[in-house]
Amino acid sequence: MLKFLLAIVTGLVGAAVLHILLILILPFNSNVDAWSKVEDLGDPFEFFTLKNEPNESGLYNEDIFIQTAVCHYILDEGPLQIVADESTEMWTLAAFDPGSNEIFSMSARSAINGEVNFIIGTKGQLLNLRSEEPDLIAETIAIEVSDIEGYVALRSIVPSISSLAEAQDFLSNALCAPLSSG
Amino acid sequence: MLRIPFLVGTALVIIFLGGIYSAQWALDATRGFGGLQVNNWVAYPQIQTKDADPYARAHRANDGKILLGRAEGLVFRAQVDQNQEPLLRGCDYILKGRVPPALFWTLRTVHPENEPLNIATGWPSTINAQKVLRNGKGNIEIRLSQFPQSGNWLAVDPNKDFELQLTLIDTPISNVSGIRALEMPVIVKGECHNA
Repeated sequence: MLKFLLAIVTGLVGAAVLHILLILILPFNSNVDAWSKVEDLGDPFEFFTLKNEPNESGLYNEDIFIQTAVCHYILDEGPLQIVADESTEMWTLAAFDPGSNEIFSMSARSAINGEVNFIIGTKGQLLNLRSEEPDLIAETIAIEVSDIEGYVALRSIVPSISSLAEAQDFLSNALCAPLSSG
Repeated sequence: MLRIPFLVGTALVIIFLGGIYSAQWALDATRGFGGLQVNNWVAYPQIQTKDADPYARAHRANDGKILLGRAEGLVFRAQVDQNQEPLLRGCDYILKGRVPPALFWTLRTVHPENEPLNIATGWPSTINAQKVLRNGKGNIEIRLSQFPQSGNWLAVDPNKDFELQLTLIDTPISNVSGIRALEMPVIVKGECHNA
């Protein structure tokens, strides 16, 4: 009887250890996390506007009034530029590392003139830019990252369905591209 | 002779079943320890950050959504009414009061596991800051029911559980520590229909 109890206690302790291991390992071993899904959308340096209905990509706008576009990047050849026209007053932007940890976020109200105009680069890349093209960097919001990979989400707020097309235009026309030098 | 294998087997079964099921349960049941509760509403302001705890990270990796950044907004969820009783699909509710300051907000009825709600075409499952009707004092009153209602109305699927999701866009509250003192709308239970 005592041995049976011991087996149960051993089992429970083991279950607790396994529980902790599973929870800790899952983030490193998931193929349904946001980064995997974003990479599966397609090539880097392109904004993909999410659909409003569930689809095989696993990413969609759950909230039709908040339209999202995502772009993933790799900074091995230089910084990234994100620019969009001013056709919407209500937008937000967030950048994430491959672990989907937020690196940076902002809304239209705190941007320079309300414009979507960002440069994402490593510390070295941004230092170079500051010395080589100080004018360019003065007009944009520079975001320093430590990972050379990551993704950006640009969202457009749609107060009514009638402005849906406008918001989708804004997102699909947004630029997410390596910064062209010169 | 069979006692030792039986004991080892018992321990192993408990380890694997217990470990796997409890981890699975935790992924569905919790978004981590960092929840902030205001009345019936819960928000996880740190779930998308490096500071998220292991349960929040596991939930996030398993859920795979593009979460709102801190300056973008904050999502509050409600699964209970003002008496802390679970929201029931067969009942009507009235949500009333004030929404915290935000540039924009949306309120939705959603399935807790994100299954699509089966409601009639054209019936609203979402409302937002610009569509909502307010009274003279700027308070809102939104009716939740499986039947059409006058005024602000959100449809509920009579066959599925639901929770409420309030998304605040560009809100100063995600930066203040006094989030607990926030004024959030209360959810009052009304008439219940026989399911």
